Amino acid sequence: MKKRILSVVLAIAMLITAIPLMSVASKSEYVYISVSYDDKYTDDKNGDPIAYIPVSFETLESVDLNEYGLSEYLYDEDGDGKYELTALQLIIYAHEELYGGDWSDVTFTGSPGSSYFAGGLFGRDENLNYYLNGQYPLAGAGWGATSDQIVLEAGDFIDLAGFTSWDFYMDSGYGFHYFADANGYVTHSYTAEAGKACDIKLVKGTKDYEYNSVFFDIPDYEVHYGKALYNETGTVTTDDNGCASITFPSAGKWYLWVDGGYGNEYSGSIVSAPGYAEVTVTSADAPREPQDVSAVLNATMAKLADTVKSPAFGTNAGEWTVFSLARGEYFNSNNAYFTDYYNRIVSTVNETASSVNMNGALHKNKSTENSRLIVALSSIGKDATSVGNWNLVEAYSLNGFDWVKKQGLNGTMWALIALDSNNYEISDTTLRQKCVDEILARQHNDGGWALSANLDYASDPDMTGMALQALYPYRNQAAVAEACDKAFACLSEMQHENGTFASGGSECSESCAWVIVACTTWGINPDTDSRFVKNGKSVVDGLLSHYLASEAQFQHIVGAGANGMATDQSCYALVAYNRFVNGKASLFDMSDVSFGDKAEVIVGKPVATLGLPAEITDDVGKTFNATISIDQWNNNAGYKLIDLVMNIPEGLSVTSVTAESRLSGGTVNYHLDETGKLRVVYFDANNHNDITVSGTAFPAQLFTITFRVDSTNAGNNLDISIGGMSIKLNSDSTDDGSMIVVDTAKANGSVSVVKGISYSAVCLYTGDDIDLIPSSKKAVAVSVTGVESKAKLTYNDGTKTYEFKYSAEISEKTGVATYVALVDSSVDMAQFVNKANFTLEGDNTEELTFGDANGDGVVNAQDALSAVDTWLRKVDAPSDDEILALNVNSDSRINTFDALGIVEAYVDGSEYIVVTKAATLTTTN
Amino acid sequence: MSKRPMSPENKKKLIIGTGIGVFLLLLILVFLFINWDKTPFGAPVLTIETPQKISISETDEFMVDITISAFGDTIYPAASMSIAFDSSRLEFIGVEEGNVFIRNDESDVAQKLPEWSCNPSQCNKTGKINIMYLDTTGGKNAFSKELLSDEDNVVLRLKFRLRGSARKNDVYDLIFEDAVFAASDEKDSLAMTTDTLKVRNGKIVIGD
Repeated sequence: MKKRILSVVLAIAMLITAIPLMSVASKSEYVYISVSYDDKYTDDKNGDPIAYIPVSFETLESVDLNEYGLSEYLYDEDGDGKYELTALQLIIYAHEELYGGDWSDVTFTGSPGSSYFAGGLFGRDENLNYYLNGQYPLAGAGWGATSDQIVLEAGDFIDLAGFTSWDFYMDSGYGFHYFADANGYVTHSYTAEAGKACDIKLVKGTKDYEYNSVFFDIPDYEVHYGKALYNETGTVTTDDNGCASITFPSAGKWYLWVDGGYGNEYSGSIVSAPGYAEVTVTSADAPREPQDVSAVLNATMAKLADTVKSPAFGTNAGEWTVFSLARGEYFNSNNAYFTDYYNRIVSTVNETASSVNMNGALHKNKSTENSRLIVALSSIGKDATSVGNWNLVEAYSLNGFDWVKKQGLNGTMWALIALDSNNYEISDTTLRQKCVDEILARQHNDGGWALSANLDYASDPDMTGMALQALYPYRNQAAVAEACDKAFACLSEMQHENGTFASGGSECSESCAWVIVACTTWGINPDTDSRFVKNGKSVVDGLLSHYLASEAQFQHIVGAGANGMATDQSCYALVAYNRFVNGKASLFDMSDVSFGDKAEVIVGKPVATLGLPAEITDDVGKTFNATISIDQWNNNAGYKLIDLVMNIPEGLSVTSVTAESRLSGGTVNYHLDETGKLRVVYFDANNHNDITVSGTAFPAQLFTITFRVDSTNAGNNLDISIGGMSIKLNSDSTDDGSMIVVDTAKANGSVSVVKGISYSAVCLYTGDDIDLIPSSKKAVAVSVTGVESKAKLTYNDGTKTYEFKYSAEISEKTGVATYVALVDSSVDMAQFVNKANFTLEGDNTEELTFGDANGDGVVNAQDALSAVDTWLRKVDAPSDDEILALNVNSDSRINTFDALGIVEAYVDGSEYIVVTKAATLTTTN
Repeated sequence: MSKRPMSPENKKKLIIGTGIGVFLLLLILVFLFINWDKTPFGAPVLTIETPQKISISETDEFMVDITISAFGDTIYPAASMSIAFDSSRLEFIGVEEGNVFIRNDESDVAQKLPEWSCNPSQCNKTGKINIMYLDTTGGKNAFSKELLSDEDNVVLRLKFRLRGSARKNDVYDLIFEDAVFAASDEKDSLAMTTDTLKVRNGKIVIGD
């Protein structure tokens, strides 16, 4: 009887008005629920605590009160004829789907607006209480609300707490524990940096005697933290203000919690609910240098080329090998490896498409057969709209969306990837959007994707990566952008402490591979972005942990031995990463592939990159350069104008903007306004000349911008970015075709301001033992701030000594003195930013000119021939200086590509890739 | 009858006369046998052969030949030359074939003309004509003295036209900044930098 009375009292108590004292800082389209009993959160059906669990509105809508015999509790608050989503539905969902209970076990009584749970909820009795957003829930002024009339909005959170003691509400210590942010607002998330103190605050939400919501700081209370809830790493105690500091030892996701507490008057009873928050801890390490995977990549491609000698149609017949070798530029597109493959494909397509007899479909049910082949053919510059007698692309339109999605998500995703690989046009212009909509509709509640149609199931990293890849070209759609933001957050959550990802419970290379592919497509460095580095291990590290060096292949699971599919997917993931760090078009973006007649047409969005020095000194008057490059150009398109807007931080002025020698047809005008916007335009105002770019090597540098330091302090970071850039064909703004918007997502960077002499370093390449550069050696470029003359730079770490050579080309490009040397690959790159390892002396050190193999000061045919003869092994193995001079394309080998690089630089004025790379890749010390 | 002894004065005249005679004979021999296509030191000469005076009213394109006097005993799988010109007065149109062949060891046809790499747009921009040939076959398509003729050996031809800014009586220099016929063993190369290749620059003279 006593319990029943208490329940009624509590229900009535909720009807009493209260003044909200706190609000929630941010909202999302999810609502959240926590369920506790006494001092702990209640376990769900899988044994995990029900603490701040997100539930989507879509999921809540599926909880139909009619089906529970609760029609009278349907609530139309605003009288618009539509029922609102209420806390009752959330609690029913939590009871059934999270806790695993059955609603028939619950006694729900009362009437609309005065309902209560009379027993059975979460296996407990009616001695419970719930808060909305840390406060007593209100139905209106002067009236509280019971669950059936608590209308949920995005971001709301419900805390439902049950207690053993029936006296809990009478104790002065009664309430719900919450963590609070610096402004005192309830929060369930903090951010912190590993190794640095993170300030937290603990409060308790409760009510006063008039049922107004009040919050108290909670002093002298134990706060626990760990890598999982209730898996404790340590404990801190709050001070008099409820505050405490926690230093998290490593990056990644951490959790805070407090237990419910004993009462003051009822000291033997738990009278307050537990509290919970997540902490995203980023790495405190210096920014990671993107690692050079070219040695592993080249070895893997060599192995694939040797293993799959005659690739043919089929997943396991070598189509992915063709794709990897083409995008990895292992062979030229006119190599017999590809042309022979294509001849075999023509024959297969003619036979198979005729046999299937479905308008060019290569399988009755699997549209991915077409998609895979379209991707492979596009990678070698073959137009998939005309393969033998068939148009493989139009098959999507002619067989319809039902055929595309017959394979589920795989079908839709791969159709988009294939269609957009070469911007193929199809007659059904609605099909692409149908695919996009289908993928969006299949996004799981945790933000990712999986094969399962049950959106509450945990997502799969492979499928999430594929979805992100497929959706990238549609990122300007708000729904796509929002979905993909969630997906990347979801992926970050999925990453394990060793950098890997798991699919089906097993850490595997393919999952890592697809995360890398997705990241690189979206302009995220999977090796350095803190979202994909856990405990110092990136997803690239995770993938490489599956590599078997002795076999030059990858394993599906570590210890399982080499696996063909794992090697295929890992290989093209490394290709994707390698292309990303070298500023090339992404893996599935074939805009850089020559398609015969279409070769000179820009079929993908051109991508701009920004080169900046890693560091400059804080000397007023000091100048340094930024370079702007573009990855493609069409001289036949009739471009008339280039314009761009850059964001320049305070303390810098612009002394010049110059067009590079490969750019012709216009003149530069620019202006830096007082808001820090630098506007640059390049065109011929008088004659309206076409703007052209000479040479064939890309990316091509277009402009050099020289900055002057006016006022800044050591320790500052100067963030510089291209906010927008376009290429215009005419002045008709109503003509969609009059302008090409350049992708500037990657055109940003930060320059660290240092005092005096400081060192930054990049690894240009590491040898792979294949063509003359041993894997024991790597080329390093070291930039030195605060040095005006060409001082002699010597490295000595106590065990190794290297004389660096001054590179005028890189120095002039960045405005910072830069030196290069070939060093032992075992020396950690961190050693090359350690000031203690260097000495500077004199003012006229030896220089190294890229391409000048014989060191005579002139780059000419003798040097190009030297590259050829070296590769042909007609001359002795090259010396370290010759390697540095000859490997102008900065891969892991000296071969005819370098010879051609020298020819192109001589004839076209092209910049060597090694110089571009040195100026673009930056690290700091 | 005994000969009368020669007086010391006559003896001296005889010696001087014989010396002069031998010197003249040697001089004649030098004139007769020297290959004037080579320098007295034997280095082959790369020459810019410019046409006669160009009329200022000339609107057609005109050719400038680059000739080589000789090759050494080796093969040259690569060659390049860099020629400075006044791009504000002359427009460089491009490179045309000469008559110096390269080997064609992979074919039944023993010789073929080289394909020179050149970017006229870049040349006009920089005022420097950079041309290169590179044989990537390991010498199968190299320059060789066996393929030189007895006539003028035109390595390639440069095509120009006068810009509107050209003025009568002007003289526009064409100057080799660098040139090399590269052999795999660098000491056999013919190169300006090592004086193993001599160059003769050219002038384009503008008339009425």
